[in-house]
Amino acid sequence: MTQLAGRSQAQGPSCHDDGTTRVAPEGAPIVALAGTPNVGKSTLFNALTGARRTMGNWPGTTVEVGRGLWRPERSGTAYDLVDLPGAYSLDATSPDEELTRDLIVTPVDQRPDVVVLVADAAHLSRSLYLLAELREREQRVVVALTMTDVAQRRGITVDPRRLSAATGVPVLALDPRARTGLAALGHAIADSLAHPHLAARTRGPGQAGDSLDQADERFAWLDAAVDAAVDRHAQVRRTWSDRVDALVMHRVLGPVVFLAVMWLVFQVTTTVAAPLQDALDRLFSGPVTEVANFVLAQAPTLVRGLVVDGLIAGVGMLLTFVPLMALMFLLLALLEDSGYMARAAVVADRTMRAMGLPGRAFLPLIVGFGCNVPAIAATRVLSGARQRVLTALLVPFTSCSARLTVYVMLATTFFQDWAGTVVFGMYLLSIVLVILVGFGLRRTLWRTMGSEPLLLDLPAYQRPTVRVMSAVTWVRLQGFLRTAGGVVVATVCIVWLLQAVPVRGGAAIGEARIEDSAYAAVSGAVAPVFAPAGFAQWQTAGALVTGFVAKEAVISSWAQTYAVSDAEQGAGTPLGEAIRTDFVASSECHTGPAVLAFMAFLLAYTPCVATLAAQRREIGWRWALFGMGMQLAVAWLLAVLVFQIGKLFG
Amino acid sequence: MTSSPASSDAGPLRQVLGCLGGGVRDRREVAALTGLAPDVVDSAIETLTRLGLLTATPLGSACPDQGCGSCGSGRADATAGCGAPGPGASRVPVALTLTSRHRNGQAGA
Repeated sequence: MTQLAGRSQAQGPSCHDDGTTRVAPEGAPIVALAGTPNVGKSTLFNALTGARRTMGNWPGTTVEVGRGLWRPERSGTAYDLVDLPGAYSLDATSPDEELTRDLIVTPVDQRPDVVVLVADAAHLSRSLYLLAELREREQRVVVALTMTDVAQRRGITVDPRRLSAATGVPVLALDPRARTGLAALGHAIADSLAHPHLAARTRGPGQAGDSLDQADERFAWLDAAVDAAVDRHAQVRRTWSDRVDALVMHRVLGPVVFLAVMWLVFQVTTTVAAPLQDALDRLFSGPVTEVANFVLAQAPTLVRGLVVDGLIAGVGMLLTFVPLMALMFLLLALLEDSGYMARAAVVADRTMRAMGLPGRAFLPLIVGFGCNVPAIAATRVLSGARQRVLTALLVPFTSCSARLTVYVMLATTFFQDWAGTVVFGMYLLSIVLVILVGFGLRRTLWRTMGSEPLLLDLPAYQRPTVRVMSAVTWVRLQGFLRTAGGVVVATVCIVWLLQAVPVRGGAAIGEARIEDSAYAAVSGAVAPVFAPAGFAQWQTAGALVTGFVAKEAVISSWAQTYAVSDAEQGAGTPLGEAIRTDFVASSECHTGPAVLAFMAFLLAYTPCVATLAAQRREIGWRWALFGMGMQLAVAWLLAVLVFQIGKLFG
Repeated sequence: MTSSPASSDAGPLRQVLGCLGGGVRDRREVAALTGLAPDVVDSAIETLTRLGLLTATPLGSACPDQGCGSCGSGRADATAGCGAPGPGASRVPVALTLTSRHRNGQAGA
């Protein structure tokens, strides 16, 4: 049996010591320091022993226990002081707690002579649960109250005398850092040792019940003790954290603050990153293209076309977004690391519940604004199958960061000074779509859906750290670069192949005009579907088709298509200008509404094949295909609605 | 949706459970409804979690505890394949949910 009594220092923990260890003489009373973690137990141990201790694993365990000699001032008594591992309860849930329990819950003659329960005055009830358990057995206990200064600052005053009367054990306040109250602790222990073991407390109703009943009885006991001993000042000063929370989590102002913060993020992103993006664009379309043309001057046209018009134009165009994505990831990391995003999530949760949607669904949806794939996986946190399916169907409507590249390109091309606001508007539209589609599904497919009660704990605000922010930004940027270097490169190659293969005109492979290619034929067959939405040009339809693979591919496909077209015509039109010309033509000069309609379609239709695969994995093929059909229908209706209404206003 | 806590003759733990079951989402609200000190509410929630009647789930990401290697979206080298910050992100809300053990009325059995 694990025990303290009768164990000599040589048998105790002795892996190492500080070289100045003083050992308690054989037979010295054993005083054990117990308490929850971080209550100042080890600080008290060091103050009492002069920091001279042996440290090491308790025999047969991996748990470290400190042991040393304590000789109180003006006292001839020597105590064998043991610093027990931190424990909330004698119902152990960790090896540390198991050892503490084993060393305390032993036959009476083998127990520590006195247990000093170190209790944090600022979190008294947390400390008193262990006291309630200790008082259920014959045991000498002395309570040492620490952190009374912290409690005072929080408007909490603990009266040791009243607490002593309520708990039946001696209670004294001390400060191990300032070394005050240590002599009084010595006196209290000496006094306690002069008396027999304290009788176990009489337990109230619940002692014969299950573990909840027993725990509840202890809580009732400690609650009464806290009530008797603690004074809470009426006017406790609100912390700055409370004041910020009162604003950012306000039922009305909270959502407004969230929207304002997100608007600022997109405004800063689009304006600050724009010059860097332009510089990279000039680099890829200028020197990089010229060098590639020079190096590949003797190479076959097909190879030159793939490298220059495909990889450099397509992937290069996507890479110009690296500064923009990095800046946005950095700003979002700042909001996350500060603790604000957790509050925004709670605000979103309220909105979801107000609409009758499952509360916990908001978390996968928040994740979806970064990337839809992990968001689909996040639906596993939902307990009900219906909730999981509903949320997995809603996730694709959250606007992931891949879609941001297309928004930014179109917004900066068509709405220059309003680019940030237009991008922000797309995110707003995304939220509205989630709510409306969710509401619609609840009203049609799932009229009954169980709700799951839960309590949300928020992290404290903190000053964002450069290390965490840069790490998070880098991980997310790597994801973007991997997509650009993997899926998008593969898509560029397939698009290049389709653009090289003629389906009419009789030219050889690689010699045909792009309008006669398989790519243009397929895109042209799809394009009329978008006529009511104002963007029926085959180049745009083709980009949307490749966007099924990944939304970044929309940009690379456009860049690739117009680069090939330019090469055929010997022109050098910037991508934005080429796209503008086609939008003007297909929308009969209602360019603005057509572009907005295109962006709305892009927001609402299937995000990427990876998301589809994730949906199949989580909710099965049937629901995944239903979701895809629903997204296409919603996207088309939305685009048509935006264009037709937009036309009315010019 | 907020209901009153369990009957006032119930102990603090059952009062807190009653609040959570009734849809209360905030510790301050629990304290206000039960009349318990905030510190007692905190401690009660901690104890209920230890008893296995509440489950704490970090909600910031879908990342499995075992890391990216065990995730469907993870890469072969056990790095994130999705751009998420990965497990260990601590700046996220934590959901405390009643376990089915409690909902089925078998608490503490």
